[in-house]
This record gives sequence, C-alpha cells and structure tokens, in this order.
Amino acid sequence: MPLTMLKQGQSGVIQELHGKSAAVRHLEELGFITGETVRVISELAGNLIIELKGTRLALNKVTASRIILKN
Amino acid sequence: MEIRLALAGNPNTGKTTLFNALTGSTQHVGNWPGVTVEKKDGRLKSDKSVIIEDLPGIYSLSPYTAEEIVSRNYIIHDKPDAILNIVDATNLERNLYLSTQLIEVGIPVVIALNMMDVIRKNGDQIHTKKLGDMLGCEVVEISALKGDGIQDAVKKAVAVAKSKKEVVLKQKFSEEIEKVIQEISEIITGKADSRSLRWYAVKLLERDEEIQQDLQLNASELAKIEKLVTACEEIAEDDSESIITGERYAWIASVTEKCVHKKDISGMTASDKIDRIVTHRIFALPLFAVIMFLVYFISISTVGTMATDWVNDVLFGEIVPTYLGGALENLGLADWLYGLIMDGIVGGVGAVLGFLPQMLVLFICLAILEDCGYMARIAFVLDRIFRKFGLSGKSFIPMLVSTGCGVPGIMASRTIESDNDRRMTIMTTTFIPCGAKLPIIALIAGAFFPEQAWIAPSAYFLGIACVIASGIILKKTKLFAGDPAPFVIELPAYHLPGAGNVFRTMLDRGFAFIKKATSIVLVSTVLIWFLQSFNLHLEMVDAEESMLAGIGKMIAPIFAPLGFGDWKAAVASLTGLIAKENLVGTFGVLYGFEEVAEDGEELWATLGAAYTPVAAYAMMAFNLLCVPCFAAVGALRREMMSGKMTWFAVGYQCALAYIVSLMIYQFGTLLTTGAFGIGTVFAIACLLFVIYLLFIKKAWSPEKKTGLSLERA
Repeated sequence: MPLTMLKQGQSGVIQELHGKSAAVRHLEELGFITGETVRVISELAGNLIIELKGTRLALNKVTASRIILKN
Repeated sequence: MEIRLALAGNPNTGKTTLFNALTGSTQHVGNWPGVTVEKKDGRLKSDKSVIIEDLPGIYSLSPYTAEEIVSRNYIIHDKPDAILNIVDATNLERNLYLSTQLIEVGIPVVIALNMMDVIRKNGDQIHTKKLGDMLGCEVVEISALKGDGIQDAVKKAVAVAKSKKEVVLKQKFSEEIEKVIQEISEIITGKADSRSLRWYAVKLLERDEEIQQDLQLNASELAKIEKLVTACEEIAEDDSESIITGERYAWIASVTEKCVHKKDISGMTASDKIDRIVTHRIFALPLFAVIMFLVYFISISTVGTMATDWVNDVLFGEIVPTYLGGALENLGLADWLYGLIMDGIVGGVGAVLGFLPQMLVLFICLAILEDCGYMARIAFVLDRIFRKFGLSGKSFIPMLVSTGCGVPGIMASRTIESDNDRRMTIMTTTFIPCGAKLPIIALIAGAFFPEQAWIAPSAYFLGIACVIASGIILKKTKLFAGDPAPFVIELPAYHLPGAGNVFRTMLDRGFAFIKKATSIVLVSTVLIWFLQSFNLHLEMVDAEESMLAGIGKMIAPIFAPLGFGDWKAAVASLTGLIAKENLVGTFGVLYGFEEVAEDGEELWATLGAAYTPVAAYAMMAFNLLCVPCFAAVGALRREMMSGKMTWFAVGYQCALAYIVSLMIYQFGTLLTTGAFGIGTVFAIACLLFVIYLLFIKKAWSPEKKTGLSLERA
C-alpha cells in the first residue's frame, strides 16, 4: 500500500519506490530505501510530514503515493 | 603555498555559519534548506594563505537541483586540497550518505560534527573517535554557532591537505558490486583522475550520463560497462542506482549502530507540537495571512512610522533645511549650487533615507521569520494551494526572500527542481513588494490613506494574487506547460532566532540600502534635479518649462488611463525602473522639501493634493508590479540564461502592471465617483480578457496539438 494510506501517528516499512524519475532517485538519496521505517507525524489534505531516520520531511500527496509500504 | 578548503555538507547544517566564523564574512544565514545557492570564497582569519569555499548544501554528489550542480562541479572539477565536511550530528545517517561519497572522490576529508551541543542536551552519545576510525577520516566536534572546535577542525583539514596522504576507503559494497566496480575501474584507468577512480567507477555503475560524457568514453568502453551494469542488475533484481543507494545506507546504519547511542525518542518533540498548529489544516493559512499582515503593519504603520515621521518631518523637513540651508546661504553659494544641494540631494536622497527606519523594522521581521524555521513549513502549507495554480510550494521561498530584495529572491529559485516552475517563479517573484518598494508603499499609504492600516498589507497580498493569477495564465501556455515538480523538503527543528544574527542581517540589508541611496539614487536625483531646473538652452527655469517636463509630457499620456497622467508621476515611474527607491527620490525633488518648508506644507500633503487616492493606489500598484529594477532584471537574465525569456518576462511584467493598474483606477473611480468613460470600457475589456485567460482558456497540451494537425491532414 502507498504511504498516503497511513494515518497520523502510524508507521510503516518501505517496500519500494514507484517510477524511476529524477524525483524518485532524489527520494532514495534522502533515505527512502527498502526496509526503512517511516512514521506519519501529521497530515494536511493528503500532504504529509513524516519522520525518517529521526528527522522530519514534508512530502506532498503525489510524492507520498510513490512510496510503497510493506503490508 | 595557498590551500583551498571546501565546506561541503547537507543543506541547513551550518556551513555558512562556520564560513562566517572562520573568515569573518557576513554571508546570509537562515534556518531552511537552500539559503546558500552560490559558492562564495573567503580567507581564513588566522591564516590568510588558506582559502575557504562555502558551497551550497547537497544531499549527494548526484545533483538534483541547479545549486547542487555548483557544489558537485567545484568538488569534482576544481579539486580543492581538502574537504571540510559539515555533518549535522542530530541527523547523522542522512549526512553520512554524502560523507561516504565525498571520501570516495579521493580528496582528503575531515568531518566537522556540528550541533553536538544538541546531542548532549538530548542525552544522546556519539563516539567520535570510533566514528572516525570506521569512516577512515578525522572527526572533530564543533559548534559553528558558538565557535567551539572550529579552529581545531580547520587545522586538521589544513594538515591533511598538506600531508598528501592517500585517502583510505573503509566503506565497501557487497562482493558482487565491488567486483563490478573493480572491472569498471580497469576500463577507465588512464581516462579519469587516478585519485577519484573509484568514485568515477561508482558513478558509471549508476549510469551517470554527465560523467559518461566527462570521461569521453568510446562506444566499445560504454558497451562493456553497460554489460557489466546490466549483469549485476539482473542478479540483484533492482536497478543499479537503487542497489548502490541501498547498500550505502545499509553500511552507514551498521556504523551508526556502533557509534551512536540514542535515548528512545518516541513521542512528539517541541517542533512537532508547533507544527501541529502551524501546519494545521484549518489554521495554517489564516495564520500565515496574520503573520504577513503583522510584518507589514508593524513595519509600516506602527513602530516604523514613528521613526520615519521624525526623519521626514523633523530631520529632513526642518533640521537639515534650516541648518544646512543656513550654512549654505552664509557661504554665499551660487543659486544653482544651492538648488542642487537642497532640492536635488537633500530633497531626493533625504526622501529615500527617510524611510530607512521602516525598512529596518521590515528587515528585522523578515530575519526573524527566516531564522526560526517557519520558511520550510509555509512552503509545505502553500504547496497545496500553489499546486492548484501550477506552482510548487517551493516557489514560495523565493517569494519570501523577495520581500527583502528581489535579486536574492530570484537566485533562491534555484532550489526548485522543475525548469518550468523555476522560470515561472523567476518571472513572478518580484511581484512581491521588496524592501526598495516599501518607501513607495509607505509614501502612498502615508499621503493618501493616513488612517487605513490595510493599505500596506494589501500591497503584499496584491503581489501574491498576481503571482497566482500569472501561475494559472502562464501554465496554460506551451512555454510553461507541465506538472509542478514533486514536493519534498526537510523540515529543520524550530529554534529561537539568534539576536546577533537577526541584528546582523538587519544591519547588512540596511547598509546595502544606504549604499544604494547614496550611489544610484544620488546620481539619479542629481540628474532629475538638473533636468527639472534647466531647459534645453541650459537656462534655469521653472520646473514646468524644464527639459524634464518636456520628457515627462511625452510619456505621460501612456499613464493617463491609469490616473497619473501628469509629467511628474510619469517621470517618477520611469526613474523607478533603475531602482525603485528612485520613485520616492524623484517625488522628493519634484515636490521638494525646500519649497515645502517655506510654505509650511510637507511633502505628503502636497502630494496628497495632486492625485486622487484611487489614482495613487493605481500608481503604487503599477510601480510595484512593473519591471523591478536594473539589478533584478540582471539577475533574471542570469538565472533564465536566455535573452528571449528575459524580454518575455519584462514584457509580461509591464503588461500585467498596466492592466492591473488600469482596472484599479477605472473601477475604483467608477465606484467612488460614478464616472464612466472610454477608459472604463477598456478596463471592462481587460477584465473580460483576464477572466477568459484564467477560467475559460484551455490549457495547452501536446495531445491537443497532434489532434489538430490530424484534422488538418
């Protein structure tokens, strides 16, 4: 399921990233890699603030939907 | 012998703070990723033979945005003698991702572990010695802000630069990958710098096209490499880039596991709690509007005005004319020289400098916003809105920077990934009133709307409205079509703005303003004074018969439909193109303080009598939205890297300013006086045209075009 499905406070483990654009490559370099845990800190109309490796990142909905979590 | 040290690291880790501390410079710092977009060099205070290069922040050596290319090119092509890698200790894993790449390049690296004070305060531990051993380079604990450990870090960096020892690489990939890297290295031996052989091999494994071109590999070499890469991708069932990224992070995790002891931090941090409010689905936007309203209200209508009133009315209105005027009269100067000094210089430059207090207050407010960490949040909040209009939330950061000055604002757009978004932001960001336009706003607000606090903030929101409308209109054209770039931004922890930093930022910008007032504005006002004092036969005449009146009367009809068709306003708008402060300076000369002082009236009152409030607001709108100033157009030209786009941008800005101003004057006049004329008809036509562009016109799309050509065929 995509990261967008998580509710505030929930966390999940990344399975893969969809689409191999420069943007997705950038996400990988920021640490969105297979096996990494993400936690949703807050949600604003589909846009997310998440915790990854102990830091906060803001993503919009389109970007978050490219991040697929393990079920 | 000179030693070149590069400061490299992730965005917002304190590189510029360290740079300022080491070199004594006062480069601008802020609390959001992407403050520095251009490299800057300086010499070490304690040893002038050491040159330090401050680079824009990067997440990796595979550039993603324009300012990251600057950093990569410097490291790879200019080859500094050593790299001082600033690492944010509170964000170790992501920061070390870049560090492992920097070490691969083969240039000696020293790691400066910044923000260790925060780590200790949190009760966490980092074993620096062990970390250094595992990474294969020296690690020094520093606090860039307090200056702790920074001399030690530089000394170590200089020492490794001088020692010319070979860099030891500790990080290894899995066996299969190492084998492929080895094989690629063999293919490119002799073609690439031997020190950086491994880095090049890894980049080729990642299929980095720029590197393929850099090394000028021939077809058979490229084919050999491609075969190796595909083979290893088949084994791992993933693309090579992801394999490398994954393994790199896995290795880093194994290092931090041994070197870092963190207390369990489940639950909300203070920053998270603030974000709950600041990015709240309902409160976020009103909060932003209130903050910006306050910024303008405070700087123009309250604190700033009191000081400005004193400077304008007392200092340049009474004290300077009385004493300087008296002194000059005692000297028995020629009439023209007296006029030049009193009407030209005191009147013009004085009028501009009079607004300095208001600008300083604005600069303080902006510095606080930039320093506290709000910038990245508001970009996130506005992304949702801006996206609907074809812009990304990241466009907002340049716009907030532009509130201070349009030139760095235009440059700040480098952090926007998509070319179309970036070009559109460059074109529209100067609609936001900059510091130099503040005197115009303050002048109009003070002279025509003394009791209405909403005038100054309205100028700001008019700017935002024009940005949004432009976003919608331009996105529908072929030139800017395309989806806005995906949005991802690191949110720095909030911190209380440092008084020293806020104060320094204010002083820097204040001095820049004074410098401009005493250079460009001075020259312009002297020129204006000359042109308005003499006729073509160089005889001193009344302003109405001067050369300037002649020029003004020629262009004035253009502005007549906008309500300020007299030659003085026309000339003022024209001089505003050079620098916006000129507008106020020109009014200062034309409605001079000197004559003002004689008949007991002030500039504001005389000006207030010359135009209707609606015309004045239209004049303000025109000058805020029109071509910013020579310096900003220069920056626009550099960032667009295209003369054609520059002309398009300038033309668009003029047309938009004219149309908006026309509508304000004509509809405003219609509402206040009921007067209906040919101008009103034109304004209605413009309004319909704008409505058509905004809501009815279909967006350009590649499919539609092919459909049409098929029909024709």
